[in-house]
Amino acid sequence: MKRLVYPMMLMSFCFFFVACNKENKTQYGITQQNIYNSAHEKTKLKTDQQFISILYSNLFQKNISQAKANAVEQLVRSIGDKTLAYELVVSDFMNSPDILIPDPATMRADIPTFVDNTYSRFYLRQPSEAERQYFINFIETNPNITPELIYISFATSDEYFYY
Amino acid sequence: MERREFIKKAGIVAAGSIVAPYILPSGSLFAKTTAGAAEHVVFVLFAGGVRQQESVLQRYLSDSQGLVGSAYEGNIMFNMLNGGSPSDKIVFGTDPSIGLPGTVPIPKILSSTLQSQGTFFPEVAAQGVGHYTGLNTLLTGVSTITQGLRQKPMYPTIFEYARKYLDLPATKTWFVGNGIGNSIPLLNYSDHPDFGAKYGANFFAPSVTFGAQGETYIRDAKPYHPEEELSPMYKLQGFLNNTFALEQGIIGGVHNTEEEKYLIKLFIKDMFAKKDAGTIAFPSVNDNGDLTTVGYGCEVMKAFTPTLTVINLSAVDGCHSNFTGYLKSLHRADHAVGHIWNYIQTQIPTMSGKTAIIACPEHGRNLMGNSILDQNDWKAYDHSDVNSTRVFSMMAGPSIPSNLSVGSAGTPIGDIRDCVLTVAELLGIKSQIQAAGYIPSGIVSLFDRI
Repeated sequence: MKRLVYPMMLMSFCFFFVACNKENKTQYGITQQNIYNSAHEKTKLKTDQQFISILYSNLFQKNISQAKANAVEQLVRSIGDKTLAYELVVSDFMNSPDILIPDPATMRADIPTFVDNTYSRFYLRQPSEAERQYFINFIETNPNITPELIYISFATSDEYFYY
Repeated sequence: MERREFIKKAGIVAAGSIVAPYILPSGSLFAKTTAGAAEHVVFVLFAGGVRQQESVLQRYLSDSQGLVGSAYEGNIMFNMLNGGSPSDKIVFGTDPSIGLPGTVPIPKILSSTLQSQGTFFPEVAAQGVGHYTGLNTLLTGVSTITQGLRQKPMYPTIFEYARKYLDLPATKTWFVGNGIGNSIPLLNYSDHPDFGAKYGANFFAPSVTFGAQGETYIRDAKPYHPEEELSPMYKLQGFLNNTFALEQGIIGGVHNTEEEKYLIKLFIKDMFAKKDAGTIAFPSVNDNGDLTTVGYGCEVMKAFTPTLTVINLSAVDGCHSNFTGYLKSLHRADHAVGHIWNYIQTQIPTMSGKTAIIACPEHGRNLMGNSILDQNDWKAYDHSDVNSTRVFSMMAGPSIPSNLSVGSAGTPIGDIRDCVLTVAELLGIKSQIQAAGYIPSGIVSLFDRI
């Protein structure tokens, strides 16, 4: 019996101190990264499915359902001019109350930030200085231009079709 | 010496003026040199594999189901072909309120059949027995075994020839498809490096564009103001595209100008409004996909008055599993063609009297049935044997001889590959297409077969 006392004490000691160790909680997150330095790094054409999924994510900041992606893809295939088809789809998306888009006042309050964010959102890169300046000037001198129209121009531009 | 130099230079200029009359904006060296007989051509791809026995030969149930007697023979294509209809076991019509289904034939639309109005080729050779191969051949004039099924045509289509040699904008050539399956959306332009998307036709598959998908995702597309909103938007888009510096038209399929895009958007809006109001230009009977497709095809023609419109019909292919349905679809495909021709003559003044129509199946169907029986215990038919290469072709319109039949079952004349040069001849670009060098030797216009 005595021979068992020490091992049992040792086991109790281990259970107590090991099992009750304070757990260090580690949390992981995602930091938005721009993955391209320039447009010319994009050489591969997105498939229609890829394009639609990415477009939806960019506009709504959430994933598109497979059924919805299939329906939009079928619709795009039914129209010969793809950019026209996407213009229509994007402008239809703009009717949704769930779309995440800055209002015009917010855009005009800080145009450089809006331009940087828009490039980052759609092109996954920062604008060059020339691009940034062009957009800033354009927005400042065109009172009718809205974030919605700018988003459509990005979403239907050639670069957006590539990755 | 000076005189000699003058003569030399004058000779060079004269030679140059013969070789290169002038350069078109499209980059084409040669302008249209021959006036076409028609200002517009409508080409109907008819209609998913049509068996000679039930069409041209007017055998109805005699050949296919072994029924004997003249009551089971006759014509069910009232608008296209001459001939009386069968008198017994009528199943191809519409359903009466009381009585057996399909027993009321659809009344004839045209006062005179297309066969009487134009030239008929009753025995024409198809190339291959597959739908995509056949459609591809009808549109390119070329049949090749290396053409993939999920690949754009390898050779230029008639759309591209028309746009390039007539210098047409995209909205002047249209392909109206029966759907988006079977690679149909690939047929509006080829992969050919000298042609391709920049000369492609606009395309709609109305069952999708204006169907459930269109209702959900483009019906309520915002109608932006063309000058105040769209113009700056396109300006920004142009800046972004210039930065990316990609060749125009590569990714976006067919390229329409801003004005054309705006017109197409207005057309789409209009179609949904007409759909709600029930005023789409459908035929009087509209109970299958082909008839719906044709209704929207007529709307396209009215809105854009295209130089070339191609409409694909395919419901006849239900013959793989249902012969009764096949007879109904064939009767309706004929109704569709009659409606197209009548609509052009009566509802589109700018095309009336200036339009030619061509109809040709992509292939036929088998001589022997398969083992599938339908509700009437009738055998179904696939398309894989020699009988499937037997088809017909017909054309009508300005400068096309009327009431003329060329060839017979014993003397086949014509090839489905002839359709491209026939359309070309009607539009006045045959010599340019021949000079391009992709149409095989021996393939000619149907006019040359007369």
